Amino acid sequence: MAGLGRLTLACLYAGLIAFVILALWPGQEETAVVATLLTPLVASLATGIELLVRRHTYPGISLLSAVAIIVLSLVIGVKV
Amino acid sequence: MLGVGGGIILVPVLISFFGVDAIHARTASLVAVCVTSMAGSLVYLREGETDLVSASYLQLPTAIGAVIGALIGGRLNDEVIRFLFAITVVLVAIRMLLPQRAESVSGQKSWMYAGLACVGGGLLSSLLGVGGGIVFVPVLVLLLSLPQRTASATSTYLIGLTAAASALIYFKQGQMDAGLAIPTALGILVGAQVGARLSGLVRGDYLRRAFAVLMFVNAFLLFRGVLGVWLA
Repeated sequence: MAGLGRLTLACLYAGLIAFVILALWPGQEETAVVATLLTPLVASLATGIELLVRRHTYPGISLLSAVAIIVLSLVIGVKV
Repeated sequence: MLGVGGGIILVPVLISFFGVDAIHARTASLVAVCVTSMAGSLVYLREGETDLVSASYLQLPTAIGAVIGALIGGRLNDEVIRFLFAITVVLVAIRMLLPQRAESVSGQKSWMYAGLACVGGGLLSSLLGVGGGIVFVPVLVLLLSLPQRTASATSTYLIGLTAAASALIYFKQGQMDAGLAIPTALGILVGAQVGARLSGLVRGDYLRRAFAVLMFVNAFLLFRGVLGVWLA
């Protein structure tokens, strides 16, 4: 699977750079936290789409479903 | 140096030595786990070690476990989290002292059991603020027959979204102290880089024993704190 993971790498690089910059920027702690926590979500979304494009259908659907569950739980704000 | 995520060390240290309450220690640790996952995955992905296909299959059950765990975990009080963590720390310490099993002998894959175990890993991660690697690595090695290094790399990738899932829910519930989480995550990031460079200088079994002793001390401090509240 040559080339699989390049989008993931790009997202992780961007997220890590954003984390370091925002973490060292006074007063931006909450922004740094949000950027850090959204990075795996965005990276997973990109990887899921890439898997589907490369015809790895089931892993792609599984990963995108994981992202959807997380996003839904945040949007709906389900309380036990 | 030990191949474990920072959470299993970080949370009890924050609670026992820095007086941080368990709820904020948990969420700070989850942010640190995300950062550790990002940094580690960059290395492993560049080296081609991460099995993204297996990780993608397992990410769904781990996310389910993480979301359920965060929804339950948000309702647990400080003492319950400490108690659960103390038990987990003792089990991890015991596991560190046992002989390390190298590879799966069967070579067969058991996706159903791996999926179920990953639900548990996600649950553990979100309830306690650890990465879940203590579950994921054995699952990948023993149930999916991945080589140890591939399993470590894939687990490093898995823990990122797992930790982010629960941390985002806790953030929305107002349980995140960003002023604690960010310096903690920065420290973990620097420490992981230093640890990776030092890991070849100390024998693995000495490190594991030292880690186990530290974990028993942490467990004692956690139990003492909890029993002090419950018996008062």
